[in-house]
Amino acid sequence: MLLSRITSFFVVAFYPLTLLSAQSPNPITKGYLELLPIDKFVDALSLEELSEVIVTDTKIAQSVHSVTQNIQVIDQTEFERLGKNRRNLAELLQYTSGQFVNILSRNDANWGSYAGLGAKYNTYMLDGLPMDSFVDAMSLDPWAFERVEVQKGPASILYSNYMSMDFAGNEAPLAGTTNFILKDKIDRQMSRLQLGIGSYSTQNARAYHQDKKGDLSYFVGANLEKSNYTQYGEALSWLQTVNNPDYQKTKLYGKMAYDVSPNQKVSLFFHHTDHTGDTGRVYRDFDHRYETLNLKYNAKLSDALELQIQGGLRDYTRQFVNDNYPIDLSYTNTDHYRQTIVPVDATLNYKHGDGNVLTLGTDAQWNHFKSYRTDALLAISSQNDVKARSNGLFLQEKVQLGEWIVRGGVRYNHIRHDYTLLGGVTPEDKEASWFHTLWNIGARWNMSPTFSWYANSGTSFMTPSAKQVGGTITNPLTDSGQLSNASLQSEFGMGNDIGFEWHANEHLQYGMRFFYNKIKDAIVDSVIKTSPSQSQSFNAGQTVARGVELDMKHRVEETWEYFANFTYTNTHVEESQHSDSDGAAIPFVPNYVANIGITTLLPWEVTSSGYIQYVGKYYDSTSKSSRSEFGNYPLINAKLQKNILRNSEYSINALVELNNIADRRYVMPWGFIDPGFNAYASVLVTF
Amino acid sequence: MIYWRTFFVWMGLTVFSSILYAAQNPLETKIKAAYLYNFTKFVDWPDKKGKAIQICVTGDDSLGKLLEDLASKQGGQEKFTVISGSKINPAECQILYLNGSNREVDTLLNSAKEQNTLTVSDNEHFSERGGIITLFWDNGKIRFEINLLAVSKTNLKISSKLLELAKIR
Repeated sequence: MLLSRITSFFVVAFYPLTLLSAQSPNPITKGYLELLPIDKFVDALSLEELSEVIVTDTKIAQSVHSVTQNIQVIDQTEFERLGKNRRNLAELLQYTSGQFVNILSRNDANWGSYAGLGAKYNTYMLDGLPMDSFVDAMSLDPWAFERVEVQKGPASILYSNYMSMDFAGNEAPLAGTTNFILKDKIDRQMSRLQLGIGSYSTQNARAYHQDKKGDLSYFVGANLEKSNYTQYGEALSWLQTVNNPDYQKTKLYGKMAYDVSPNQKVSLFFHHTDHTGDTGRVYRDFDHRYETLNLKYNAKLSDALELQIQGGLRDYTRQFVNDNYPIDLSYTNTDHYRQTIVPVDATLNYKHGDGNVLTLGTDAQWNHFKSYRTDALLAISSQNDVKARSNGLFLQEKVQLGEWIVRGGVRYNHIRHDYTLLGGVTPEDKEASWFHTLWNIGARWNMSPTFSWYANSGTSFMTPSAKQVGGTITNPLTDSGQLSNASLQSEFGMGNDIGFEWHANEHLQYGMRFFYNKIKDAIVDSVIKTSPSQSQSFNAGQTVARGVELDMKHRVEETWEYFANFTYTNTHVEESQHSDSDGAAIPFVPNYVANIGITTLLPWEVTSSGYIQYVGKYYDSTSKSSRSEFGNYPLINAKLQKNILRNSEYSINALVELNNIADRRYVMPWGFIDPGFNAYASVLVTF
Repeated sequence: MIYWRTFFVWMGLTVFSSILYAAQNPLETKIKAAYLYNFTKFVDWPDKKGKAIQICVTGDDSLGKLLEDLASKQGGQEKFTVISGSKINPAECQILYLNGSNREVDTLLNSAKEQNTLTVSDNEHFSERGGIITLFWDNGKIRFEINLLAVSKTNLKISSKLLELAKIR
């Protein structure tokens, strides 16, 4: 069955190739750049790059293969095509190979997997500084970004763990990193306004303005969305609603960058989000506030030396009101969470020889996580009070030897936790600390200008979060949340990958990547109950995730292009102590995910994009006796864009998004269910 | 099943339409257009604050059309307009791209010399004739040369970044 699906997938994916060879009058040997529309062409190339473009047909215009990892770049053009760029950053990566993104609801964090492991093994970063892949992904506005770089494979030398104690807890770059790059190159004034309406009485307004005044460049933006939304929980689940779950999300953000001198630059980015609403019952309100700051200083000390110093603030305040469901809908209590994380990083790059780079640096993080509960009588009870800090020192050398690029590095890491209060009680062990020395190596062989091999290997570790140790539940009979497990150990893992990138010609790219990730004492989250919704973390012995990713991307003409990818994953847990878990698959990892996307430019300036995703089977727990099976569903999304008016002063575009066209109300873990077909229409004015 | 059929029919139709609609522009023309566009950002014209920059193109229809396309797609992000054809008044142009016979180039160049017009051409001896920027081929790449003597006869301010990247004459 699976084999026939894989075969069908590639027949569908490669079919247009045969069409092309039969019908297209245009040889596909000319430059990739040649096919870009002129507006994208001038955006793609800076003035410096223009003079480096090789025009002759015998060479590829852009062939930068100087990193050992496979990196996939998603730029603003693709953001716009995807359409679903208003709510969660993870949705921008939904069709990238190796990833599985479960969009639980508009009010909750997404969940998913990456390279056969939980999403927490892929750290999210904001301009290279760690951020929360669950909270910040819900908060940050995609209009602030120039592009996203998805770096596949182990990356634990240059990038640290993220110390979050909430949601999934710590995040580690064992399987890869996803770097959201803020807009930096602003050389003209530009403003955008977008107004839209959609299913569930959704109303959205966005504004953005950028400009450059002398040595100061800046952008500011705002985003407001309101909706009555709809039922997104299974019948009789803890998410069952009696009203439409209203929400309102307000975002304000901006960045200022100042060129102190030709060789020095300082920038500040800020982002504020208010997310309020209810989950469809009288006493199920929520009120969240997220603040994100990034301060960056770059200095080119000489032709060979570059210094970068960064600091950030991630401040998350979340508040949930709880009721007595399913017994009745009366008010019971309110949970309050506050987490403040300050990451800092200083990195020095020394360029030497012919293309070699020595990188050394240090980073640190401080975290304070507190939670408390107020009951019906307004009595306050503290639940958790935890501090954590980490320090890292790292060194990496990248050497270019002809067509070979070889990289090796080490990181020394220290993490310490101080537990004042866990789950409402003072713990016996008030502190815990971990020291680890990590290594990472990689190589790339640019066998020809169009074909490259690469391989990477590296270690990583992850400490249990306070939430995983202490839990979030006071009364296991009635509360939803995380059950405690005081015996959790830290986990240690090794990530490996090998693959190739092949530019068959300047329009057509193929890629294949094998990954093999092994984690000792893996901390696995399992769903224990769905009503009330309860999860628990435990060390699952050893977990192994291996798989293969196949990628192809084809720009056939200036007017149409498509991509296809397929990820096959095989995972298992080795747990000799618990026969119920031994041999089980890692939760939340589908055995395969397939994606196809086609974008076409039609007459009358209409752009059409369509995406099909097929998700294979996955489970919500390692317990073979009690786990539930999910997946095996297709998802079809489409977007149409029509230019209404365009002149040298402004342009007006109309956009229509059609999501889940097949209206598949597939069930997800924790009792979530996709609400099915929905649509959104908007008008975008640029001036 | 009906959804799948509908989806594939829609995809088939859109791909077919886009093939019919396909149009190509040679990379060389795109690079020249991109250079002219970038020059608007790295050159300051006296008394031009707030006004649209006018790019005039002679003797190269495909370049003129490409720039018109770019100007319309910029949606006001960078205010410039394009005039192409043979009846061009250099006094109205901030950038004048010249392509054609030596005599035509010389005529327009002489008219432009008295204005604050940035003259650009890929004519081999453009600098010797008094033109400001010459686009030239270098090992399969298109680069540009700036004639500082010609610049000094105008009130144009050329940014250091542009000068840094140019071959200076």
